[in-house]
Amino acid sequence: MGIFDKFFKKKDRKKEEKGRPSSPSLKENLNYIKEKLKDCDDVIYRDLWVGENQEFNLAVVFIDGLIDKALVNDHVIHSLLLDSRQADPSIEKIKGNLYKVIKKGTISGGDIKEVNDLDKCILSILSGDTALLFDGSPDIVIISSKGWEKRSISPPEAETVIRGARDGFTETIRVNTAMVRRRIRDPNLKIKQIQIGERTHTDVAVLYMEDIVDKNVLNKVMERLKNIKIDGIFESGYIEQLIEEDWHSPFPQVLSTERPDKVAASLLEGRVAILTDNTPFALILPTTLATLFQSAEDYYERWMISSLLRVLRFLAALVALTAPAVYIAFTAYHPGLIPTKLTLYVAATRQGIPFPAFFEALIMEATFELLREAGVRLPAPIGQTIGIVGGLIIGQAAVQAGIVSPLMVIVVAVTAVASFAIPSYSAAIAFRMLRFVFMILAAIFGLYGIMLGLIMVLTHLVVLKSFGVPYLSPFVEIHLSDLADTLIRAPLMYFKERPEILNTPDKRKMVDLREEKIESLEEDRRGRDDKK
Amino acid sequence: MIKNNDKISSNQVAILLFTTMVGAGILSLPADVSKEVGPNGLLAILGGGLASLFFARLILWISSKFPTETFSEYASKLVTKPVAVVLSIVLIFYLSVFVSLDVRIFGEVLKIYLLPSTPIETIIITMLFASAYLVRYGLEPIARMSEILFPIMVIPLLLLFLPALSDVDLTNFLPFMRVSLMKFLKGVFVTTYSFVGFELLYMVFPYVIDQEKLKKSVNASIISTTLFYMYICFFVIGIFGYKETKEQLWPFLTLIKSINFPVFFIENVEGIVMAIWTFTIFTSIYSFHYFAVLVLSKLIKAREHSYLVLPLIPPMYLMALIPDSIVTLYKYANLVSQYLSIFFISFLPIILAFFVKLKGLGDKK
Repeated sequence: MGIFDKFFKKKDRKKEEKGRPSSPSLKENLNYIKEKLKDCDDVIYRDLWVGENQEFNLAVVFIDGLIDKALVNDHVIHSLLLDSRQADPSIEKIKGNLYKVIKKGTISGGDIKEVNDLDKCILSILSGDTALLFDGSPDIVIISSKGWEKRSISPPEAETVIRGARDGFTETIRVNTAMVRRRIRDPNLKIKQIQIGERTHTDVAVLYMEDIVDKNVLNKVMERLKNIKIDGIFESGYIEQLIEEDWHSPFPQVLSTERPDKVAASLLEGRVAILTDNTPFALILPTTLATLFQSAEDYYERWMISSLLRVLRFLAALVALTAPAVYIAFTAYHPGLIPTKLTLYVAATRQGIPFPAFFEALIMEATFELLREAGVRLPAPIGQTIGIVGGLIIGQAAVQAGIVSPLMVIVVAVTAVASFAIPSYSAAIAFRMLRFVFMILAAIFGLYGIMLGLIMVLTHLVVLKSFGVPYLSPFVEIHLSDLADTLIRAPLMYFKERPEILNTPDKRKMVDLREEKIESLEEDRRGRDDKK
Repeated sequence: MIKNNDKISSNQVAILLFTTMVGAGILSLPADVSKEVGPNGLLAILGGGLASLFFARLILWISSKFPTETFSEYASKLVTKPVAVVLSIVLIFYLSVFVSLDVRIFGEVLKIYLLPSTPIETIIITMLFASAYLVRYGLEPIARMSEILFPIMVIPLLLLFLPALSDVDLTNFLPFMRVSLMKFLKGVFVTTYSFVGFELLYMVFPYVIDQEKLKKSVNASIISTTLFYMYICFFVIGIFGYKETKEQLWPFLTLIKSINFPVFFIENVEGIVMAIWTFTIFTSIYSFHYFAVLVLSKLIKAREHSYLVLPLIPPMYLMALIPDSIVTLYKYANLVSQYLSIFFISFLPIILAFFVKLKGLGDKK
């Protein structure tokens, strides 16, 4: 927590600096803003004179491109210049409280607030609001007029599902919060918004269910968010790395997702979600290893299919982690442990290959990682070409040239496919990275090396916590009811309670109506018996 | 659930006890009991289990009188400070010896079955460092590790033996109970080596959240350990017969070598069993290692135990290398289990219980 302490001290110092209070003089205020926003040519100042004899001086300040032009023109400038003339307030009436009359009676914009701090006013302008300044009054009206070009809602690219909602988060936080709000129409859904980043002032929203969330976790999250002091936040990855417990860990301790339905479901489980402006990736926490293997679709499909898929994913993780290492261990150390026929086959395919198994595996795995990385960087059409080049030509050619054995190509291919079967991309990366460590250990100690590697990884995992929740729970500190949603996905009827590990105040998730009915019937009968 | 560090639940204690007890002893247990009581090995294990249960509950009773103190603290109240210090030092030595023995047996097995050309020193030192890596983090991760490894080490072993069920010859357990009482008691006595591990009840009490449930967990863990051992001995003795069993060094591994699954692609399961066995032995090693460190830290009143984890490794490593062959290794193991284990498991609890009664100490306020 040393780093947070440092941040905290700085924050205290910063608190003493105060914004500049606005003065009653319009000129003075405008000059200050103009001075601050010097050389910012996208800022637009509109001077207005209203009143019968044009005696009242006003100014509208906004940034071109960030605002909704139609809103500012129709509901601010038009209202002030034209609509105000249709009413007939006598000058005497207006003179003293021009500000009040205009604020309450003239502007037809929906969301307005007032500030009397010029620095705050500038920040609002930079966020896309429109500022309305008056001569003779220190109060400034801020009209919410954010309206920039938005990317329309599109399906989440990294988390596509066959069955399930097709909308993914966009780069605009308001759109994203609305998508979650639309799914949970409950006053207990709280959306707390703060700004992080001393220069970017990025909007960050913390979402939680007031009566479900564990307050300890929530406080921890809020505290860690407030202790972030950084110049800029451009993606939720910044926040993830700054609030996670252990940054030495290869495993993600915060789940990132593009799916609003996943966020909504997590909120109902008692987790906290963090939405960040300018990125479609939301963060969900606390996260445990088991949640990284869950996909939104698991709950939409019937339970048998989902359970099978869960088992498959865990096996895939094991394969992604150890397959090349096992290949190395068996070919180099323990050919006696696999069936004789297979041993002979492996030996035959490896005949004439100039490299030891470890180098063979290393070359192929490195080549695969290279192809993957190249494929990601390239535009889609060329990316496919890389896939063909890599898969067919390099694999086939390498085997024919006698540099690697065909079995090795199969192992690499299976490993690659297995690593993509893990729903969480960052978890898949962790497994892929650790795979190389396992390969080295297997090259040194054979099967024992793999076991040693597993022990090390498990040790790391049992120590790890995500916001106070053990990373391996519910496999550790066992709660039987929670196990129903890990290796398998039990029928929905079993999920009557929220996850025990999250320590939620409100435990009941579902009532089995059939059971309830039987109970009430029995109660009725007992009541009748008593009467008799 | 959010908990303080270094607090574990009684369920976790049960699993920790099980994983600690099931260790290197499992390899030689069938041979040891067959040597003493012939076909009545299962009964001897049951007897050993019941005796262990009695003494485990006795230790638990003593430490429950001092719910916030560990061994070295309450022993000094009971049997004066100097004696307690000596006892603590012997206890540290004893626990360290078990780490050494376990890790050495592990090294020997691994050398024979998996890594014939790797020097045993490398195996031992890597295992000790792996244990140190975990032990540094304290009791809570240790308990969690046991929880994770428990199903991995138990379920496959239980399933592996099932195909061999048809080979079990029940006549191998006859004649039933035709053994003198002295011999039977000796048989019970040799099983203690396999039950070593519940001494950690001396230390674990103050770290448990739901202390009142500990009795249940102790019962559960020792009974399940006994059943687990009986299950394995049932197959080993039932298939080989006691005469063949007692001639072998590690009949458990011989049996596994002889099981094969012709239907499946796996021709022999040694690789899998070695992998599982690595976990089995690892659970015992880190548990003994941690409690040795814990007693030491309480003895010298250290605030943090993690600094004492590494200094214990060189002595453990050297002790593991003292025996020059498997035969001498088992000679030492028997010496330790006959004298030190019996002292800590049975005599010490009786003495301490006597002092508790005598001084009327530690009555719950």
